[in-house]
Amino acid sequence: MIVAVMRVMLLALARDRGALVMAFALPAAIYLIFASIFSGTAGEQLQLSVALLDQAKDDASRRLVSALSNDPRLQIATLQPQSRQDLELAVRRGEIDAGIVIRDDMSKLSNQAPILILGDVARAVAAPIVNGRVQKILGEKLPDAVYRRAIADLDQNFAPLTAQQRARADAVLQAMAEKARQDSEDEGSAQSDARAPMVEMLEVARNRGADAAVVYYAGAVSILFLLISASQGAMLLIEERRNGILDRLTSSAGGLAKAVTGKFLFLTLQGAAQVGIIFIVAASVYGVAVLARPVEWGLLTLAAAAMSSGAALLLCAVCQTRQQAQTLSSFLVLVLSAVGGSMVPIYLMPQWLQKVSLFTPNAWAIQAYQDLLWRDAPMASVLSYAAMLLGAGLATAALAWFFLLRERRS
Amino acid sequence: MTVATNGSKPLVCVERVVHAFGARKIFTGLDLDLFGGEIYGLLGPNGVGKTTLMRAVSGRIRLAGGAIFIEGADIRREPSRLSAISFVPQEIALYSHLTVKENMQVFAGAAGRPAARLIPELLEKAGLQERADQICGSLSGGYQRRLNICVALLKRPRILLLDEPTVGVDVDAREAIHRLLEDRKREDVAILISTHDLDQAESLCDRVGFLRQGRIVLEGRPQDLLRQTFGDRIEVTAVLRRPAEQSQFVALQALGFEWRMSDEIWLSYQGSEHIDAAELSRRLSGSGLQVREIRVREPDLTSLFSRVMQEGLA
Repeated sequence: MIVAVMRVMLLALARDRGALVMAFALPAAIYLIFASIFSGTAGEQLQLSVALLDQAKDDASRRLVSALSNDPRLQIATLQPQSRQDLELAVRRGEIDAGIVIRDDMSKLSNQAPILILGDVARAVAAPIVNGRVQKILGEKLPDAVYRRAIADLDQNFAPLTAQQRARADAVLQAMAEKARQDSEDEGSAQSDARAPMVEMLEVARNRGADAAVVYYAGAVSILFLLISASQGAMLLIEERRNGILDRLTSSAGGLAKAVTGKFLFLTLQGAAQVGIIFIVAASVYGVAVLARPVEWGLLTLAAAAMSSGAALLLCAVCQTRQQAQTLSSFLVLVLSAVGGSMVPIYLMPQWLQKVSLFTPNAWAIQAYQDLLWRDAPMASVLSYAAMLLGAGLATAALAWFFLLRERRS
Repeated sequence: MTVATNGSKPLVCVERVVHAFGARKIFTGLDLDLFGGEIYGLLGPNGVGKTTLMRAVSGRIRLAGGAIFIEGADIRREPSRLSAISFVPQEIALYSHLTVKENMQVFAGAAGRPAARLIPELLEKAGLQERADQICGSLSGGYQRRLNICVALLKRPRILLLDEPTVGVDVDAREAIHRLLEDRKREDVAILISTHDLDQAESLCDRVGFLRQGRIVLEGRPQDLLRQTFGDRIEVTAVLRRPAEQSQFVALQALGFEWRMSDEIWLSYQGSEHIDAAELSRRLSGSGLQVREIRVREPDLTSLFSRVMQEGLA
């Protein structure tokens, strides 16, 4: 019975080109699109478009413009603004991600900051990133300008320097500027004489050749399409109920439980194959290290597929028509995917929505794949998510069986 | 429970079954026995409960009262007895995206019966062997009906229930279906058919039962029932151009027309020696009735069905 039911579903899938594309080609294509969009948004490959306006036009400002132009994280737009208004307009129009205005001599104390960064509210993340890059470049490439401003502040507001101290500071700052200039000219010698830095950054996430967003979206797209494809595959159940096939199948040896089991197993295997294709693409195009922990990946994938299979069977057990099931599945899949992080990363959501997302299978699957393939979490952590997904799958499949049994007896 | 003339006990025994859908009573103490090697025709108008009875016998309905026994065992206590039954629903319960042969293989697999030999045998008997590789959804309605029955025969049932098996099929398909059923009958299978096709019931069924107001009101061999009801009388039908008026009813009744299909169609059952169609037409016209047609024929199950359903003959 179980094999017969699985065979019917396999033939139904094999003879429906649309369903085949939906199940196996589209998920990989959508994944590639998402990964292309979001790869690098974690920071390391992000390149922001900026335009510069140098109003100071001194040696330090020219050095800053030069350093900013050479920064690999920034792309200097060809736009040549003549005024701050020009720059603001370009930002507002979305022609650039941010604008940088060097307003004044950086070493001179004044009421306004010598550097102004113009950002677009709609691209809220751009201005802080550009600010960070400017700070970093100032520290590395123009330490003399930073110290000169600090010494001027000290001299003027805290501890006035003697003429001898001033002369000595000037000499040190001159030497520092010269060294920074030379370092900038020498490729590969990026670190200038910045003395002991206040902040040092060390990236602790394990780098396995892919960036975090690529891994994130491999899980996110997988669970999204698991839900969609399982719902499509389970629709056959509605036709079977309506035209008497299910009665015919379940009056034979084995009954309803075997019919539901056959469908559950087929949809689970189909889902696992579908996720397999997505991760093959992720591994071959983006270097996601799927094979680093293949057993856990396999168990997690089967559990995620089982969850979507059970949920889809339950949906098709309670709906009376295909139309009804399609409407309800579209609604549920979209809501679960939006809240669960399949569309937008969970960490970008407000706190209350992040808490809600904890109740979605999408979030469980995404978190589990992240833990497994990016965070190198222990096996117990990954398996706990797998157990939650499998438990949800078995519970919903059992509910589907219960509703079908009740319908048959009514 | 009744016992057949050959002493055999019924394979299916429906005893005082009661069932309702909400306030609507479907069965009010229905009894029915079905024996091996017989074809029983269940007759009745739409909505009277024929399909519900089939579903009840096949264990798909929880009854409010009474009991159903399969081979002597109450199906509530021994539901495993239901495995002796194959139910052919009125719908085409087949996978439209599979071929004829694949459908057979799938349902044989679901039944847990290896059917490597049985499948070609059934397909040949049903005249489907040349269409074995054709997608089911592309078959005509008649071929789909044949396949619908073939699939039910895969588990070699001892009891076969068919709900309107020949509805909408052509003569060839009907004959092919009859051949299949006659074969099973010879193998001692008990067959219950619900049908509106009274010609089919008369020619195919060993016994028929008329279902009315929740019970079998008349049951027996078709020829016996016709003889008991009509004897040697002939059915005369007068078809009028206009509905008879109340004042003309007396004239019609005086001429022996006592049964009315409508105000335009009147029936009488008379000895053949009294019938003169031309004289009858003249006398009806003399009463102010405009006669379109006078039909004279031997009564059949259609005649009996009309009487049972309209007048509650029991």
